[in-house]
Amino acid sequence: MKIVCVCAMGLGSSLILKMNVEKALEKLDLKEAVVEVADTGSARGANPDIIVSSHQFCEELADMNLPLIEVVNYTDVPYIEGELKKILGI
Amino acid sequence: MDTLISILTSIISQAAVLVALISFIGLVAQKASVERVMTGTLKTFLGFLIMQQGSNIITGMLDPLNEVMMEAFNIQGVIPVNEAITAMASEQYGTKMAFIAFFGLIVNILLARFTRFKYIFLSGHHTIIMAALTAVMLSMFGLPTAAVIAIGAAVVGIMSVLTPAISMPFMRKVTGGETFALGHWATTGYIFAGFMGKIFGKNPEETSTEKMELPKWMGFFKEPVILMGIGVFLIEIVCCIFAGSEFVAGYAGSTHMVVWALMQGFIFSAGVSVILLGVRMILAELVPAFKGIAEKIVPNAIPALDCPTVFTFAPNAIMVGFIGYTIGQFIAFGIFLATGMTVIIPTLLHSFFMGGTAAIFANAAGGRRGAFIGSMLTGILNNVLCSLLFPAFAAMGFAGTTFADTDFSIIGLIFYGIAHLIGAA
Repeated sequence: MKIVCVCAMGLGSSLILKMNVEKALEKLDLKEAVVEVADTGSARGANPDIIVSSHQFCEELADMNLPLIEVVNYTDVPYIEGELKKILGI
Repeated sequence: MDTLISILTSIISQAAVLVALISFIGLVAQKASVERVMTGTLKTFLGFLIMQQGSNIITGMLDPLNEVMMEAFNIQGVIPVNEAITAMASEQYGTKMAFIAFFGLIVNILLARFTRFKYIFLSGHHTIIMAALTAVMLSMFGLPTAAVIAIGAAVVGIMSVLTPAISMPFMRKVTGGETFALGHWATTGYIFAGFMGKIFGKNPEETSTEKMELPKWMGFFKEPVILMGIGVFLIEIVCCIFAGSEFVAGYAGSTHMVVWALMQGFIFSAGVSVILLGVRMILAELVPAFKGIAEKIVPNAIPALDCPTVFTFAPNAIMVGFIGYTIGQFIAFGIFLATGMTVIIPTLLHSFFMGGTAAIFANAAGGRRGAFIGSMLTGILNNVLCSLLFPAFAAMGFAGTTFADTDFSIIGLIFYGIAHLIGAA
């Protein structure tokens, strides 16, 4: 499973998201998942299974028809964990 | 023995190797698997080399632009892009930069551990940019390398806890809590925007930007490298028209001027994209390692994060800021032309990031009118500061691009001022 975290430059915010998604995955004991960072352009080519980003980029990438996790607070690990549970049905 | 010394000197003098070594230490300290240590170290190495190659693309494209601009308007314009100037600086000052960034992170952890400023600065790209700025500025004084690294690291470390601390009162209003702080070195600009918002704005609750309806088409502002390409294309085409097709043909050959300008604009974007790819690879290894180590040493640490992390709290303000900041940049542009100061060319990239964040701060203090006026005045202030500092870099042999954000300019101007006082510049 590949999770891609997206922000405008793929530098700062997406890396923060990546670290917090990894924390959530650790809590869910999902060790096989790979988490990457990307800007919107490279997110499309990254072949992700789940996208994590803010509202503006989730809207932009909605046409990829993938499960999206839309965050408001980038540091809210319990929220990310809950959304992952919903998507994965666990 | 000689071979060993030669290898050690090469490690220290090749910044790419040095940065890879720092990443290696970070991965080992986290007890990563052998495979992770190997790939992580080599990815950082590759990332640094990619970043430097990106700088070559930009230099190759800025030189003809400068010539055409000179012919057209008799000015030397500067396009401020942090990543571009940092990549350029890394070719000559790479070793100092790497050491400053590394020790700067350590100073940050120590300050967070032993003072009441519990902030851990996680915008690694800004740490690298500040390291580049201090390496260049301090080299002006002719100090020994060890002193450059010590002072540079102290500046990076102090700024890492000081700027999140001073922006915290506004951040509480913006995010409604203290789960994270702002880690972005245009902080003085954002605070300035906040105060201007307060002075010129209205009641922030009643007139918040988030109570407005904005048209959908404004969503195009989401792609920074595309914005950059369009922006530089527009600069190129105006300069080409005024320089005349005959002059431009000296660079463009048989390619039509308009097509050439379009190519040049997007070659700039391509260069920045390459630099971003490299920086992304470096940060992917360094930032999580730093965060992991910092959290062990500073138990109640508050992460200081890159500016788009506040964008989700007031998305409409980003658009207001984009427009206000762009207008501000053009007002500053007019000031430069009228006064003969170094011409800083307006960049839409900064209207997006800095304009957006400035407006969010100003909106929290003074609603939509505050957001507009606050971001506009910040646009003027920021570019005037860039313009005041640029002569220092021009004297060091840089051309065409410079550091873009307020805090970099202020730190740079402090060093530049000291250099003037003691006669070093």
